[in-house]
Amino acid sequence: MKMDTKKIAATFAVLMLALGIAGYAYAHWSDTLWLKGTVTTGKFGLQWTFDATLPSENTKPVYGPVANLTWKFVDDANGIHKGIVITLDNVYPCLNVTGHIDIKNIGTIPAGYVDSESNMTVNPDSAKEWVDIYEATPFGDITQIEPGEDAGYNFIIHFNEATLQGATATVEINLVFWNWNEITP
Amino acid sequence: MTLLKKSKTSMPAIVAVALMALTIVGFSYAHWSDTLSLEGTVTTGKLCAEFEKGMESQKDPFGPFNDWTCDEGFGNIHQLTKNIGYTNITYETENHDNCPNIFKVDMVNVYPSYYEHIGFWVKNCGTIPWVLTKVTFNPGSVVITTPEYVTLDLNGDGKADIEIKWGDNFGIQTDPGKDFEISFQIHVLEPIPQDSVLSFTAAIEVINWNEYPLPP
Repeated sequence: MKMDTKKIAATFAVLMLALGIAGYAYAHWSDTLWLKGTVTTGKFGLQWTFDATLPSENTKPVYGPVANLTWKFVDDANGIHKGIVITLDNVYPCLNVTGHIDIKNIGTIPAGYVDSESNMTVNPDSAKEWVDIYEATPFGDITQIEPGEDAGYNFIIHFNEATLQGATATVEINLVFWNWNEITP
Repeated sequence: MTLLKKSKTSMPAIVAVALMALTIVGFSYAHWSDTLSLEGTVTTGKLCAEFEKGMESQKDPFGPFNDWTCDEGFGNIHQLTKNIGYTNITYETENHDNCPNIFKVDMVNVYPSYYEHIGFWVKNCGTIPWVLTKVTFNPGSVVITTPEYVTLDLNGDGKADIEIKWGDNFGIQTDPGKDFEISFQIHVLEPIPQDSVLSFTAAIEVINWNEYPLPP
């Protein structure tokens, strides 16, 4: 019976303490001001258009074209051209393929060109000996593309004297753009 | 005769009872008394904070103003050469006695590294001095009680999308009718997704001055 009394007393003390703390916490008045922010981010996007031609002398009067050139776009889920696959068949030494790449900024943020050199791969690596790519309009000349605007690049693919017979090579070039403000002039 | 006799017998008893009753009543009326009354009214004060319209300042409002940028951690703050994004500031009043209690910051068409610095004024619109005690940022329930740097993950992908550097004035008493300025910097970080609308809030809490600081 004596134990019960102690328990009751202890419980009461704890309860009083809890109420005291709660009472103190609720005692102050307060007012709250709200800062409500929204961040609407822009859209960063680029799309290719492409055109390339073989020299007129590639087409023989009777035989027809010797080398053949085809290409197709690689689209993303939204149908936007993100890549180009160019196929050249039956090429030969001294063949020049001239092409034009047009890159349009379809976003709302200016795009700044970063580089392409470090993003070019040739497979097999030995094909670098016989495939030369010249930038008639160097990519680096156009540093920024504003939203809605486009920039054109001209290039030449030349197969030099060391071109191997019956060989196949793939060349992949990635043009890298960042939002313009991240590029140090 | 019988009736007369009975009346003669009852009379003394009636008188006795009446006297006793009068005595009792007389006793209660007999003392003198005076009463003092205490009548109290309690008129409580009003604790009120409001934003002051028209007092705001910022680096990149809507209009022909070039954007600003900085490095992560708010280093190397500088102005860019293009006008791409902007920040709108508006006020709203919601259940607050016509005192503006919502400060809206809408950043539009922004991108990684976009930077904005915003200042606003808060006024004591009540009758009780108060103290700015804490700011709670969401998402994340980040509470600050001193000038601090915080990062917020706005889309729940585990990566910080913006960083905010909040100014001072914590613990400063503001008397009724007085005001002060608070400023903060906001910087958009690399992981923020493009083409998105993301939200954040900051709840700025003031309490009656005599209760500050709150117990830990």
